[in-house]
Amino acid sequence: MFLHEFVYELKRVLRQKEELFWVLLFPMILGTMFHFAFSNLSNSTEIFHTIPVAVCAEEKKENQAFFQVLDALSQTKDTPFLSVTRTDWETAKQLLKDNSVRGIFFAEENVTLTCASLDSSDVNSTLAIEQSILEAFLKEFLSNNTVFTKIVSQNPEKMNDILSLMDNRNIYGKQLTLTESNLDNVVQYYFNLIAMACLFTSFPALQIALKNQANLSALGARKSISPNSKAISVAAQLLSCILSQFFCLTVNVLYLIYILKVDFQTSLFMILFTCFIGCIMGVSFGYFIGAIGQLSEGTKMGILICTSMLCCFLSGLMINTMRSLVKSICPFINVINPTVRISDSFLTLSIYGINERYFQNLFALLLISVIFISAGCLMIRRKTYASL
Amino acid sequence: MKKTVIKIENLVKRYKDLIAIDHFNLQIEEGDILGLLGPNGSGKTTTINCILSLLSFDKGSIEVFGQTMRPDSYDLKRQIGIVMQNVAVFESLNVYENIDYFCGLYITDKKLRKQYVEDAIAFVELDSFRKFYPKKLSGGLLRRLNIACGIAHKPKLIILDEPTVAVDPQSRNKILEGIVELNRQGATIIYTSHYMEEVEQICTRIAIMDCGKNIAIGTADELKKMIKNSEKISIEMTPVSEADKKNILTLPHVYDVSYDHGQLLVQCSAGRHNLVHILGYLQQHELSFGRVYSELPTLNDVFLEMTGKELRD
Repeated sequence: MFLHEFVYELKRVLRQKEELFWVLLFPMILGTMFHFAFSNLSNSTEIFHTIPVAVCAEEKKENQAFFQVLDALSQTKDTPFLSVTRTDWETAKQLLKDNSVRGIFFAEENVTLTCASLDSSDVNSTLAIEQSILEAFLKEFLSNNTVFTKIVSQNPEKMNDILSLMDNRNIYGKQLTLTESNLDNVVQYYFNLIAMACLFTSFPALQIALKNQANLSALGARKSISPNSKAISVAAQLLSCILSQFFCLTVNVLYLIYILKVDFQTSLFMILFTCFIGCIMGVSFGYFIGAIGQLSEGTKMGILICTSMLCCFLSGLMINTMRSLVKSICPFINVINPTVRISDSFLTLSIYGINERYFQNLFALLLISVIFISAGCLMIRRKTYASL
Repeated sequence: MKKTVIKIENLVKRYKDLIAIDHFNLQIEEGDILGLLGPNGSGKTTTINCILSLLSFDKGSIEVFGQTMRPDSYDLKRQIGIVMQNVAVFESLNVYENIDYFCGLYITDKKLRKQYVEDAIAFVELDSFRKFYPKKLSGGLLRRLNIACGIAHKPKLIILDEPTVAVDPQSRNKILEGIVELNRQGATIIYTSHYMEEVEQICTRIAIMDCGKNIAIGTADELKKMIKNSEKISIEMTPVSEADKKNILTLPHVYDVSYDHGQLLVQCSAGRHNLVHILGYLQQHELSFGRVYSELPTLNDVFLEMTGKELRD
C-alpha cells in the first residue's frame, strides 16, 4: 500500500507542469537573471583602475618633489596608480570637462587639486571614489612633504633615520579573518533564491492535503472510502513529494554551481543536505496550509503564495538589507521565518562551516516541520464529516 | 432467501436547522438495482454519504452486509465501489494509471490487479484511450473512466451517484447498459438519479425521496399502482363547453377533465376501454377532434400525485 501510494505520488508530482515550473524552472530563470544582473557588480566596485590626471605648472616653478612622486606612481609595472598628462592649464581644464582626466594637479610651490563638481546622484559613483582617492593622495603627499622640509631645515643629520623610519612604517591595526572564506556579497542573493525554491516545494504538498480530505475534493471522498489507513497513505505521499522536490532542488543547485559558476564556498554535499532539510520544511508548510479548515483550493493557494513571497521578501530576496532591517525592528520574525533560516544556514556554512549556528538553524527548520506536519495530521485525521 | 445488503433504520441527518434526512428507512436485497429517485436536494447524496460513513448522522443505524458501517470498517469498504457524482480522477495520470491506482487501493496482488484493470477498461470500452490523460477525454468518456475507477476492484456493492449527469445520449446508454451488466455479474447496485426514465429503465426497485423522506418504494409498476391515475388521454380539439366536460366526467373511470391550449385532457383511473368510451362520446355529440394521445402514468406522475410537485422542479 505504502509503495503503491509512493510510486503514484511520484508520477503525479513529476508530471504536474505548473508545480514543476515553480520549483524547477522559476529558480533557474531567476538565478540566470541574477547572474546577468550581478556578474559585473563586483568587478566595477572592487577592481582598481588607473586614475588619469593632468598636471600643469609653469616652467622653472615646478614642484620637483611632487613630479618625482608622480613619475614613480605612473611607471609601475602592473596597474599604475596614476596616468599623468603634463599640459597647460587651459588644456587640462578641457580634459577635465571632457572627463578624460579625473583631476588636475597644479604643481608649483603649493600643490593643489582641481576636480569636476558632482551632482548628488554621483556621490556613490566611480568618479566620486576616484576623486576621493586623489584627494587622499594629495593630503598624504603634503603631510610628508611638510615633515621632510622641517627635518631638513632643523635636523638635517636625522634625515636618514626619518627615511628608514618611513620605509618601515608600522601598521598598528591588524586585519584578522574569522574564516578561510572569501564570500562574494552577491552569493547572498543565490542563497535566498535557493531558500525560496525550498519554500516553493509547498505547492505540491498543498495538493496532498486537499486530495486526502473528503470535504475538500471528490478525490478525497473517493480515497476516504477506500479500505486503507489515511496516515499510511499520507506518509507515503509526503515522502514521495519530499524526494521529488529534492530532486528538483538538486538540479537547481547544480545549475547554479556548474552552469552559472556560482561559488558557494562550501561543499556540494552540505548545500544539498541543507536543501533536503529546507525541502522537508517546505513540504510540511504546504501540507499544513492545505489542511487548514474548509477553504477552497484557490483560497489556500492564494494564502500559500502570499505567505511564501512575504517570507522571501523579509529574508532579503528582493532587498539585500531587509533581513537586517527586520532584525532591528522585530527579531522574532527572523527566528520563525523559514526562508531566513534556510538562507542563514547556507551563509553560515559558506562563512564559518559547520558550527553551532548552522545546527541551530537546522534544528529550528526541523522543529517547524514537525509542528506543521503534526498540526496538518491533526486537522485531516478526521474520517467522518458533519458536512461535505 | 436473499441476503440483506444494506439496512437503514430511522436515519436522521441535520445541518443546523435543516433536516436533510428525516427518519429514513431502506432495505436493499442482494442482486437489487435500487434506484434512489428524487429531485435535487431531496437527500439522495447525503444518504449515500451516510452509508459510506463519510458523513456523521444524528440518529438511526446503518448496516452494510449485516455489520454496522464505521470509518475503519476496512473489510466492508473492500466490498464497496463508489462512482461519485463529480468526476474524481487524477489529471496527471492517464486512463490506465488512474484505474490501476484506484484498483490498487483495494487489490494488493499485482497480477490480479492487472487483470482487473484490463477487465475494467474493456467493460467501459476505453481500450483505445488507455494512454489518454483525462483532459483529453470528452465528457462521456470521462464519466466512463470515473465508473471504471469505482468498479475495477469488482465490488459486491456498487453505489452510483448520478453518473449520467451532463453526458451525451450515446454515452448515457453505454453507462446504463454497463450498470445492468454489472448487476448481471452479481453486484448489488444503488443508483441515484433525478432522471426518472433512467431509473425506470434499469432499476428493479425504486425508492422515491423528497425532503429527506422515503415517500414510496417498490417496482415501477407497484409505484404506479399506488396512485389514482392510470391513463392520461389528450385530444386536440376546439374549445369544449362546460356541459360536455361534465358529461365526460360521468363516463366510467374518468375522474378529471380539463381544457387547456387547444387540448382536452382526461384523467382516468384503472379500467379498460377508457379511450373507446371518450371517443364514442365525442362522435355521438358530433364534436370534431384532431390527434389523440393516450399515456400511461410515469414516475413523474407518481411523484406529482404524492408530493404535489414535479420531480424536475
